Amino acid sequence: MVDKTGLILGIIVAGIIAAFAAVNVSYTLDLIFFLAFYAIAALSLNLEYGYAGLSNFGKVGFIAVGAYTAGVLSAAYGVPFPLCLIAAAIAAAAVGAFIAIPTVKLREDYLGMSTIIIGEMIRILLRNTPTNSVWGGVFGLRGIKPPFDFITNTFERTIAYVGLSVVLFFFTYILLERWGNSPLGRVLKSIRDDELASKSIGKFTYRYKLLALTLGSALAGLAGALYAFYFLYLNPDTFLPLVTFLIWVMVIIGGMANNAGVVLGTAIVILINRLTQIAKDYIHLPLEPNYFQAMLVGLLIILFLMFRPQGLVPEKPVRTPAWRVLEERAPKEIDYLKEGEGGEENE
Amino acid sequence: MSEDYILKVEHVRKTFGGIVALDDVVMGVRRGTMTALIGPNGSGKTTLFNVIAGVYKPDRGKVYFDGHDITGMPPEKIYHLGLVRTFQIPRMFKGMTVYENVLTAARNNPGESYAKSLIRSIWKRAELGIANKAVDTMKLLKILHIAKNLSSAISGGQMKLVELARGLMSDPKMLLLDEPAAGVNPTLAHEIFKFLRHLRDERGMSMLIIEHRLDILFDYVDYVYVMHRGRIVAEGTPEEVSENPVVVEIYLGEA
Repeated sequence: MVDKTGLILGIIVAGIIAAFAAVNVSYTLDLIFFLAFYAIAALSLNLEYGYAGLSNFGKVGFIAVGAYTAGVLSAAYGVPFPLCLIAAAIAAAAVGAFIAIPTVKLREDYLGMSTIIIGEMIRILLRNTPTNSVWGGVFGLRGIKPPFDFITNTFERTIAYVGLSVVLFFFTYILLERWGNSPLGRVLKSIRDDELASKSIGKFTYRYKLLALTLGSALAGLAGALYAFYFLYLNPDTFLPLVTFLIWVMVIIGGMANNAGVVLGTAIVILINRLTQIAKDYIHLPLEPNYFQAMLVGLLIILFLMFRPQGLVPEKPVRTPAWRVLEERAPKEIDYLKEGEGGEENE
Repeated sequence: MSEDYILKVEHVRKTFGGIVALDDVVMGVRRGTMTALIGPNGSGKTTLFNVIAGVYKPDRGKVYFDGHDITGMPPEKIYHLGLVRTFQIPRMFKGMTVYENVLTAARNNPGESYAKSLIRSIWKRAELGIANKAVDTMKLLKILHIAKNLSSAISGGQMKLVELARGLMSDPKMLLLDEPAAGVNPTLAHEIFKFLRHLRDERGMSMLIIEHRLDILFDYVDYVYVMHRGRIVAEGTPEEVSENPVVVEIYLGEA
């Protein structure tokens, strides 16, 4: 599932993270949390875009729905942490389904336009909630109860929380791998590649797309809830379209419809961000370093779309037991080539 | 409506803006026959296919398949009744291999649901059955050796065969074939038609075939409809049609 390029890059990424860990453990824990958070979001986009071909440019909006659902439930109603995570996923799924019903019938470009607007609408709605309510409006949402508060040592508590985030990342990864390497994975790819042809072989494409966006949003909501309980504070203006674009870059450079590639892409984008943040203390540029970072990511997209559109780790065939049947039977059954009449099929 | 017709098209009309693409089309396909639909470019053949297959809704008229009214029914539902179509320009799932293209076309794979796909033991048996059927079908169509190729990286003729293989995976009662031998060398074209005849004789499959290469087509089909400017202008056996002065005039007139 990972080829040589992917393996080498994966080792480099792991090496950099290990180097960080040797220097500063707290910083590395923060880095690992962000890797897990973004990887869940990027994998959810991979389900929607990489497999089903749905260009969701409103990913950040569904993350925000999850984050605020968890935040409000915890801050205002004292709902226990695990229930908040589940509620966040359900709420984001509901919003996802509600939005998917009218939009997944649209052509790819129009779906992209609608979803980017929906993502922004969610942020603006949250921004305009009353500042004296639990939502907090532009002042943000405060008072989220810290998870694992039975652990008194804050450092240990952070380790536990980051550990949980990594566990949820693995859960998401396994889920995506199961879906991707099953007959379902083939159906989703068939819709992505040619929806009319997919309908013509009897696939109820509307239902599949609806569920892809709903389940993708549920995972984004889960990521949002993890974010809320990590910072214990939410501000609507952290959920800018830029977050969506970063997630897209992760999927594009990692490799669409390849989960391992997407995780690699996530790690690369985040490490570029972190390393440039560190570098800006040492290198003096004639321009604002934050813009330089955005330029770097922009350049990365252009270079990838031009020279390696398949991403670092290209898509692989859907792995199911069917391949074993082909491996066993094909060598025995291809006798028509030897008869000398079927050989010139190529025109 | 007579029982021995598997497909019946009754007074279908379809317009696009001011253009009348189909005008009061009445035709049918007898069970277990290869029926051809011919006519010059732009005469409405593919539009009629799209109306039958559920891509377009007709403005007027009815389409019946195997006793069901399928007028305006979406393509995915029509497929499950046993009517499968192929396209004039093959539509591959280009990010997938030939093998996956064929596997995807199977009917009732339990592993295609979001919930059941998570548990391999539920769908493994069905998947193995489908895999064997896919290998059989590819062998029959002589595309087994390209099974691992990406479906975007094969020749046009091979794409036609992959589409046909996809169509056969569901054991359809009837095939709608839009130019199955277009862009294919004459040897392979004859092989394709021999194969289709084999399907009719051995499996009792019915077919409606659009084809421009009449020299090849007329050797195989049982009945022919001729379209011109959105209307059926002639019908009959290949012999009758090729001697029909109206048909000769249409073809020479357009040429």
